[in-house]
Amino acid sequence: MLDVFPVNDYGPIMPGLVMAAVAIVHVFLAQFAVGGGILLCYLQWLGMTGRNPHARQFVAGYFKVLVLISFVLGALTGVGIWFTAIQVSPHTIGSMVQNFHWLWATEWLFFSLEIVSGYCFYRYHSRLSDNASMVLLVIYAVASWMSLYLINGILSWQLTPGRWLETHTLFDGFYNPSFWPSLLFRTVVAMTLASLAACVVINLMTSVDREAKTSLMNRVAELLIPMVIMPGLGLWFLAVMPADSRSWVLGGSPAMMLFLNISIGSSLAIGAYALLGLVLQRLFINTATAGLLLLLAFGATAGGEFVREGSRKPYSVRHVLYSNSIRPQDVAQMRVVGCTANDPYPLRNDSIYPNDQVRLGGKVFRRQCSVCHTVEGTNGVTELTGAWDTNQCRLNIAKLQHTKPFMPPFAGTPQELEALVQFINWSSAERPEAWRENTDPTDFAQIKTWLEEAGTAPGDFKQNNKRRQELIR
Amino acid sequence: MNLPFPLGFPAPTAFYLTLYILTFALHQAFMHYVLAGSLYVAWTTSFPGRDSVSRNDQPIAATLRDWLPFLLSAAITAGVAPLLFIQIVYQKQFYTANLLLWWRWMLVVPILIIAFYLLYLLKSKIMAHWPHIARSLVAISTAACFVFVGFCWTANHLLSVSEARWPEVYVTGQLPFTPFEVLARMGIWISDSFATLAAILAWQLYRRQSDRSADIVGPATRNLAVMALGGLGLLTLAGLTYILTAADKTRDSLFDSGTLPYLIISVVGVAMQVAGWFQQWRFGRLTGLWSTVVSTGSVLTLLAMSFAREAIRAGVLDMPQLFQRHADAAKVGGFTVFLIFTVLVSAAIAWCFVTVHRGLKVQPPVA
Repeated sequence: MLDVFPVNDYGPIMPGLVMAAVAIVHVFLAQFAVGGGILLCYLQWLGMTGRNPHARQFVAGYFKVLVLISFVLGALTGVGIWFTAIQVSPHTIGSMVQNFHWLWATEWLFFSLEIVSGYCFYRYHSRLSDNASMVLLVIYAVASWMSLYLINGILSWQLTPGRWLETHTLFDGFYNPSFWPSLLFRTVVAMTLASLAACVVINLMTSVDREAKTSLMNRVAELLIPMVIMPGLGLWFLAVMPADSRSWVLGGSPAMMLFLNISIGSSLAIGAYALLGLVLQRLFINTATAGLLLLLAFGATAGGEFVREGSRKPYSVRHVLYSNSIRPQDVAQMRVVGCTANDPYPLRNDSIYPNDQVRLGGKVFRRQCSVCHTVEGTNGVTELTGAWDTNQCRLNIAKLQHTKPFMPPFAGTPQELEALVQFINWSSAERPEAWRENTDPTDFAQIKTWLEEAGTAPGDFKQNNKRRQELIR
Repeated sequence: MNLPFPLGFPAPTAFYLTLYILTFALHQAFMHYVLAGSLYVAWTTSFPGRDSVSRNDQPIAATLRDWLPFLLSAAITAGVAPLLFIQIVYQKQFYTANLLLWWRWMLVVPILIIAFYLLYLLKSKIMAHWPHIARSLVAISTAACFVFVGFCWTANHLLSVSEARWPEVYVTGQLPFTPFEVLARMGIWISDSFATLAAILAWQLYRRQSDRSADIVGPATRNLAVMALGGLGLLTLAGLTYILTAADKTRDSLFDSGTLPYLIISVVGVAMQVAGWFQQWRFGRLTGLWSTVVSTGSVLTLLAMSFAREAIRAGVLDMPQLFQRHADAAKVGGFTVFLIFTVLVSAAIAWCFVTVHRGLKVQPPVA
C-alpha cells in the first residue's frame, strides 16, 4: 500500500476545483506564450521583408506583453501547478515525476532557453539587426513549442497510457495514443490565443493609425485559419480516448458533456467570427470585441481542460492510480486490512465526533472521498446521498463502481464502510452531540456480501449492454 | 560513513542527490542576487543619503533595479530543476512538509507574483515621480516578499526532517520549531546572499568600469567590499550560532567525516572572498584577477554549504528507507535524451549570447 499523506480540508470547495482553477489559468497563459512565439516570428518576417511596415512596432509592443504576462504569471502558475498538484494528489504528481523525470528535466532545459532567448530579445532587440532579432525569436518559438511537446506527452499519458501499461518503457508512455491529436490541437489553440491577444494589443497601440491597425489585424488573423482543422483534431482525440471516458463526455456525465459543449460552442463562435469576419471580410475589431473573443477562448480552454481532467475518472492515471490515490492492485488488500490502518494522521477537531465509529467514518471519508467530494459543499456527499435510506447507502457505496462507473471501488473493510455511512448520516443530521454506534452484526454481514458481489475490479460502463444481450439470448 | 557525502550512498541515491544539490546551488546563486539585491534597494530607496548623487542613483542600486526582474526570472527558472529532483530524492518528506504548511506554503506563488511586478515597478520611470514614502514602501514590500519566501522554504526544510511530529503538526497547525531555529538558518543564507550578490555585481560593474570616473568607481568598489565583508562576517556569526545551538544529532552530522570536507571548503571559500575584497578595497577599483578570486571563493562557499546542508539532512533522516525509490527512478529511461538536449540547448543558449554580442557591435536598424 502507498504512503498516506496528510489531507487538507478546503471547506465548501473540493480540492479538484482548486487544481482545475490553477491549471486552467496556467494552460491559457502557457499556450498564449507558445502561440506568441510563432506569431512574433511571422510578424518579424513580414517586417523584414517589407510586407508590413508596422510589423516591427507590433513585435516590440507584443513582446512586452508577453514578458509581463507570460514570463511572470505563466512561469509562476507553472510552479503553482506543481504545488497545487502536491496539495490535491501527491501520489499522482509523484507518479508522473517518477516515471518521466528526465523528460521533465528536458522540458526544463527548453524553458531555460525560452527565458534566455526571450530576455535577450526583450532587452536588446531595439539595438539588433533584423536577422539577429529573427534568430532570437525563432529560438524562443522553438523552445516554447518544445516545452508544449514534452509536457503534452506526460499529460496525455495520464488518460491514455497505451502500451506503457505492458512495457513500462518511456517512449511507449510518451508517444501514447492521444499524444499527436492532443499536441496538434494544443498548437492550434496556442496560435488562436496568440492571435486574439494580438488583436487586443493592436488596439492598444497608440503610435499607428486605424489603417495600419487594420493591416496588422488582417495579418495576425491569418493565424486563426488553422482553426478549421480543430473539429477534425477533436474527433481524432475522441476516437483515441478510452471508450468509457468517451461515454462520459458524450452524455454519460452531464457535467462533462456540458463543459464539452461550452468548449465546442465557444470555439465555434470564435472560429466563425474569425474566419468570416477577420480573414474573409478583413474587418477591424475594436478592443471590446477582441477582449470578448479572448474571454470566449478562455471559456473554451477552461471547458476543454475540465473535460480532459474529468474524463480520466475513475483514474488519475489510467489503470495505475484511482482519483483517490489508491492503486487498483491495493483494493483487495485494503478490503482486508482497511484503508485507515496505515494512516498516521488523527482527525482535526477530533473532539466534535460523538463516537469512535463516526470518527473512523471521518477518516474513511478523508482517505477515499475528499479529493473529489466535500461533506456539505461542492459535490457534497450529504447532498448526493440525501435521497438514499441507510441500507441503500450501504449498498451503493459497497458497489460504488457499479453504482457509478466513474467512481472507484470502495477500498476498505465492512466496518469502515459502515463507519462512513454513519459519518454521512451524522453529517446530514447536522452533527448532533450524541450518536448511536451501529454494532448490528447482520448489517456488517450484509455489507460484506455486497462488497464480495461488487468485486475489486473497476466498474464496467457497458453493463447495460451486456445485460440486454443476456436477456436477448 | 567515511567517504565524503554523498559518495557513501548507493549510486542512484548519490547521483540524484548530486544533481539536486548542483541545481539547487545554481538556483541559490540567482536567488541570493534577488534577495540581497532587493534588501539593498529597499535600503537605498528608504535612505538615499545626503551626497550629490543619491545612493539610489549610484551604480550599484541602478544596476540592481535594472537587472532584478531578469534575475528573478532566472532564479525561478533555475528553481524548477531542484524542485523536480527533490521530488525524487525526498518525495515523502517534501510532499508532507508542503501539505502540513498548506496555505502558508501556497502563499509562496502569489507572493512571488506580487514581488515580480513590484520589481518591474521599481525599474520603471513611473516611480521617480512618486513621493519618497511611497517609493520606500514599494521597495520594502518587495524585499519583504522575498524574505517571506525564504522563511517558507526554511520552514519547509525544517518540517521535512521532523517526521515524528507530523501528526501533531497536522492536528494543531503549530510548527514544531522555534523562531530562533528558523532565524539561525535564515541568518546563514541571508548573510551569504550579500557576498554572492557582491561577487556577481563585481562583474556587472567591472564591465563598465572604464566608462566611469574614479570618483564613481572608488566608492562603488568600497561599497561592494563592505557589502561582501559584512555579509561574510554575519555568515560566520550565524554559522557559529547554528553550530552551538543545533541538536546533538545535527551537530554530529555536521562534524561527520562525510560533511567535514564541505565545512573546510566553505571556510576556504570565505577566506578567498575576504582576500579578494580586501585587495580590491586597497586598489579602489575592481580588477579581473581579484574578482575571479572572489567569484571562485563564492562558488566554493555556495556549493560546499549546499552539500553540507544535505549531508546534515541525510544524517537526520532514515536514508536507507529511500534507497529503493531512487533505484526505481534510476531504471526509468530518458537520461540519454536529457544529455543530448543538454548539449543542444546549451549550444542554443550560447548562440543567443553570441547573436546579441555580435549584434550590438553593428549599426542598429532603421526604425
